[in-house]
Amino acid sequence: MGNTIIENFAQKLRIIPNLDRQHAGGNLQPLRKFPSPEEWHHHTELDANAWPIRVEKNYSLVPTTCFNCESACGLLAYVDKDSGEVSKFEGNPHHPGSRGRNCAKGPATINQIQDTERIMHPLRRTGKRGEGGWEQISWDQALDDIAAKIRASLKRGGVDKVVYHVGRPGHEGYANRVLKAWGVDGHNSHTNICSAGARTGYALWHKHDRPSPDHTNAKVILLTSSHLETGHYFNPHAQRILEGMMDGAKLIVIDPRLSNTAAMADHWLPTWPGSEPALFLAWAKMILERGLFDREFMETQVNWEMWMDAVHSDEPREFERFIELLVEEYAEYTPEFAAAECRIPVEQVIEAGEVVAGAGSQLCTHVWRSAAIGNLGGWQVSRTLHFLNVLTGSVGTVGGTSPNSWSKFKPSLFDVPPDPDGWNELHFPPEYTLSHFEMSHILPHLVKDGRGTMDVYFTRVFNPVWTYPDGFSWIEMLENEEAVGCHIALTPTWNETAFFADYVLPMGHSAERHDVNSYATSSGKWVAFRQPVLREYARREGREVEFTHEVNPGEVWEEDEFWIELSWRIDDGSMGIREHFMSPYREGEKITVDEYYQYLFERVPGLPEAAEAEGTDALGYMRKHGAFLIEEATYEKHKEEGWPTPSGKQEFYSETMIEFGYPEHSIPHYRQKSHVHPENLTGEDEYCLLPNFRLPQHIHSRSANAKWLVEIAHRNPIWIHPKDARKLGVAEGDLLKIETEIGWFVDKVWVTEGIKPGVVGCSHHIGRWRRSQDRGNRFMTNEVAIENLGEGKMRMRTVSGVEPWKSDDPDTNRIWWRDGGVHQNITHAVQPDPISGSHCWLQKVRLSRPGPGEEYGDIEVDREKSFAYYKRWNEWAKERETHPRGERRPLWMKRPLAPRREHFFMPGFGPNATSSDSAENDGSQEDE
Amino acid sequence: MTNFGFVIDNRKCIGCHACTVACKSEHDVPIGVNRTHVKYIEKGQYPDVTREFSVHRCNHCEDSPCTTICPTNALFTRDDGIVDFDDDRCIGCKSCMQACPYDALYIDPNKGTAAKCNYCAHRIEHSYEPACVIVCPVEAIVSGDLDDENSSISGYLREHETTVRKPESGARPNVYYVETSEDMLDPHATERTGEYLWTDQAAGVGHYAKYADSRMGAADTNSMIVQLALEKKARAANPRDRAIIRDVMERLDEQAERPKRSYDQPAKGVLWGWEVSAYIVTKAIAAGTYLVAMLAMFAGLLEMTDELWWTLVIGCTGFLGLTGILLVKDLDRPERFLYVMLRPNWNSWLVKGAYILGGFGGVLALSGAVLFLDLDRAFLEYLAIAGIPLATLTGVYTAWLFGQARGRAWSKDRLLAAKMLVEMLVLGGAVLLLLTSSKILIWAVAGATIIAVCRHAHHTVMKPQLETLH
Repeated sequence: MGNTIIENFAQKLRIIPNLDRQHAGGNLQPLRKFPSPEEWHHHTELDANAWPIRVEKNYSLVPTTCFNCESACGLLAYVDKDSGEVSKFEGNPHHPGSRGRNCAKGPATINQIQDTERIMHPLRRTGKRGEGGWEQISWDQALDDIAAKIRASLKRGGVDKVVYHVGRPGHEGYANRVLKAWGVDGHNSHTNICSAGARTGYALWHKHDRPSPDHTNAKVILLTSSHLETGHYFNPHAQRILEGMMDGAKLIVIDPRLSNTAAMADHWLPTWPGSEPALFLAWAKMILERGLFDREFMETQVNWEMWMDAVHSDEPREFERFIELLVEEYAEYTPEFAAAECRIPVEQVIEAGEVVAGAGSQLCTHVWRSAAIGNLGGWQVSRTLHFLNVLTGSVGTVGGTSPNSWSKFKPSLFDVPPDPDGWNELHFPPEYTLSHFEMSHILPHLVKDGRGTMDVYFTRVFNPVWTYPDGFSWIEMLENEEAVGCHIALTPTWNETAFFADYVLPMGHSAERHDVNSYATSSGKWVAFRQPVLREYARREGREVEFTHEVNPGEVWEEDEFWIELSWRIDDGSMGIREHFMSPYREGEKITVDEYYQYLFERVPGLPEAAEAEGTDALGYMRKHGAFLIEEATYEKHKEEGWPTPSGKQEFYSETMIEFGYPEHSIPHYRQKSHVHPENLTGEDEYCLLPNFRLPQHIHSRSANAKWLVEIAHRNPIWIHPKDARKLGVAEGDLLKIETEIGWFVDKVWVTEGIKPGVVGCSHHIGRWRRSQDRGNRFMTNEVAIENLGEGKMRMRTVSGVEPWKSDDPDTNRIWWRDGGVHQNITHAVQPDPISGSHCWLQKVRLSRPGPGEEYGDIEVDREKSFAYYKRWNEWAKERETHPRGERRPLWMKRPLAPRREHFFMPGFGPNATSSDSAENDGSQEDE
Repeated sequence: MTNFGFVIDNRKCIGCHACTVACKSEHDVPIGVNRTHVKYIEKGQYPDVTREFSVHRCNHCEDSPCTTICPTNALFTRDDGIVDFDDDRCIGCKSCMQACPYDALYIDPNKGTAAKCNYCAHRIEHSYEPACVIVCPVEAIVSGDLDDENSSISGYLREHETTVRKPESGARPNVYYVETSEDMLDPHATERTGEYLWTDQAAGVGHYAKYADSRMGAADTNSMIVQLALEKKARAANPRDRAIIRDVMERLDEQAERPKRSYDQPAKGVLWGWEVSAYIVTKAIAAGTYLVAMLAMFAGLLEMTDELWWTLVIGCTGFLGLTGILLVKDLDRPERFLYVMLRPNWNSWLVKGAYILGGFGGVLALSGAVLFLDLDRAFLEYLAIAGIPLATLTGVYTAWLFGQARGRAWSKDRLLAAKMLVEMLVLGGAVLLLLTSSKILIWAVAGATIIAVCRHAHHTVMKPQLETLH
């Protein structure tokens, strides 16, 4: 581009600055996506901000994995060699799950690292718990204080007083090993508000409690989930679903709400919540009647003979007869029945059913949270969904659905301490015999019920006060120092639960911590390495780092090293804990985090060889590439491994269900109607609230510090169909009062055709808050005032919405949104499913226009009502409580961090000769 | 030749916003503005309803209106087809934002200069694909050389039917969409409402120019968004009012039939506010008064006394000066105002206009000199021979400038130049009457006329901007 004479003249006269630039003539090289790994430590890029001036920036690219959802997609951190800080994140092309691509949450990790309000130092409370006063302490002080409390608790005896309650684990068995070293049955998780329903249904079939669909090669993809926007494992699965679709696969989505995924579907079936098993059984019946089932798979892999023996012992034990009897058994599940239950046209049931029936061995199915976690009996959803895979013989096939554990790597740990000597009844109360797993969402109610207390309670990347139902009961428990002796929040960012802690200890975001990851994102099996990137950068530059907090921002640390140091300090030399933290390489010395991973990676099949080929060791390979593909494909493993069930087959017929007191559920059926079944919604103003859907750009309560994500989504209006809006006399933007069983909240209305009439929806991610004395997350938090109205009644009011503020980041002063949404979860009653133990998220609600003085964001909850309501649901489990042979739960089913075998029996019972099953001790971490 | 473009495959786009965020990360794009964003619309009635997603951004047009109107060549087309920008040249006049049919530009609040998608030109230099392309989970964004038959993008275009946004703009855009709908591509097929599904808009996001920070949190009266939101609140304020409920029902019925926008980036609001309306009036007064006076003088209808000459020259100079001040004030980088004349893009009517204003200013200055030095008054008449066409152009050129703003309806108004000429003559006549008459009635009529013209000018400036708010 040439300048005009005038400009040249004016520049010469220096009236205006000289802006002559050397402009590119265009690049003729073919474009590529990423530099090759050989260039990663010496990568040069032109500075986008200085452009069009050419300023070269030098980077060291360090692979790690994302920590924003459970998928652990690969990230490549760009470490700026001038500043020594991370300047951005891109994808890691070597990660077999994410293949270099990410969702919005990946690149937004930089927001979380640069958050001006993040917790930089260990904090200890001043004043009363929950008052909001904090003082900075050193890591040494924090470790000594906490170690002393744990030591005192352990010395008092008991195995259930020190508890680690984890939200997002993100690791494989690390913390479980630590708890075992301490000798406590102290693992609690968030599974029961997330995947418990789906897990139970799958586990009944084949113990493997999660599916791994091979979308790429599918003919039909049937989702009772929204995997094109959320869920395990959103980005990797979305990639492969689209690959399948571009290759001609049909997408069927079952959801009462038009999710983004449903919007992409060939068939969207907006079923009434909880009716899904009726639909799947109608399809099962179609497959059976039309003879489209996979005879070989059914005959050889399914325990149909047990059913024949038990129920039809007078009949010939023949497969043909079994099928005939099965058709009779399922006679009630006609398309008309399904259509009536689901409240969708019968034509749609048949049309989509024909697509499913025609899928053969290439049927991919998935359910994660959604209906399985929403409804009383939600576990029937996954059980009947998997039935379709069993019928079509699409279990473990190319284009079918495999058990997730086939493609999940289980690491070998350097030392495995003995199993805990006791059973924690606060986590596994005896009446929930089949729960998957810990009854974490009724913890405050169990405590209130006098069923236990805790001396030391770690919450780790876990925010039950906000994420869980009935948060006011959590606040009540946390404020009670008799119930919780000491509460330590391990968290990368402030959250509503940390406000009620004694210690808030800052732990790293992705790129600031170590973890090993392996998830069933495809048919392959891989392992990935989450590493603190500045530590790896220091290593590349030849600098020694002892602890990760030396290189992280402020004093932000990581759990891996924290646990080693804490464990070491708990043990006064007499407790036998230190012996589980000894280096496998240096006799008699404390293990380092590097040694932990060195040991682990040296035992990954094929990795040492791959490393050697590159002239490095296993740890070196993972530091360089960040991920390793262990197996290309993991199909049909049952042919070698069989099925890990009592019968060794796919359990169509479950003796376990009969033995544990639920004989009506011996085979897949639709015997339990949802608590939000239309029969249970009697009043004219009663609706079903769908509160458990997620958004593609948020992750529970951990993305409120990511400004680019919050900018995209920050409010959660109530979705309502125009018909219902008309009935209630509300239009968009109007206020609506939503009454639950235990309280109410006021939200704005979003009128949309994209929701089933009679159902209203509200996203799960929004409505974050802080009180005036609290800090953090101001991009997304309303300021609220909490008031105790007495007699158990709690009130929360929004004092102000989101507001800009001045900080080192000019963007904080540019926040243009004011609406921070409403915290709906806190008004939800706990609804523990008696079988799966899952919280049933869907809420029966009454809708009305708010009364005088009831304003947007107002919330009221009655804790006494909430406790009474819990008792009602708890009673259902107690009524059916059965312990065959004294077993607390089926010995063959999973229990993360299982205690010694004798504790699987109720007092007075014990393992005997007839029971040959060994208790399931699944050493690996469950990715929730 | 290389010619970079994008294909956006809407069969694949899942609306996840990864591209939006990756772009923000790559370019450190501030909150409130976007170089690329995803729009959502909902169509149909339950259960035959769907939601569509589409990525919107700079189209790297072959006949790019932004580079034509940009007065300082801050926006330019590279040899490889990328429409890039140099923020050191930009004066923050926002004309590019008015010219772009795709609402792709914004004013960077950190720099006060225009910015947009530049195809990650800094990455292209080192042969890397743009940040949005590599992040996309489903590979819905394809980049590459449209002129290279062997490139994957060319293959994609051969194998798929594609459409472009607003082909009628004549800009020859280089972003091609696979399987999309007019409802999605046309910003006016759906209503921009006060609030979206996941975002609020009530604060009213302006164009993020120099006043952005001070405006934060306060209602921006310039913003139509606020007005819409406030109106909505007012209407819903008393729910027991039957009439309101009836109105609500009617609106619901209306909405049911139409596609609904459920997510979009914040509106940039009105880019040219009262400063621009006022500048049209001040320059019309300066040029119009002079023009009418001179025409009347040559026609023998007006006798130019010395007193009248002095009043005319000083008055017109004053109003012309005011025009200049308003123009500079509207810039987001006012200290760079000289760039308009010293780094001229001769295609831009902003530049031509600046020289016209300068020329007319020169005539007035020389006329002032004649009077001050008490030279022969005939010189004033000679000067008027140059002054008449320059004054006419001063009043009218804005119509051609607005005509270059192809993102707005001004460019469709063929009579705009004529209207501006009439405005100028009416204003000139009215001012002259004020100056030459002492009758109250005439003063009142002239005053009313001036007010009417002012309102009309303001309307001319605002209406197309409000109508075409994306």
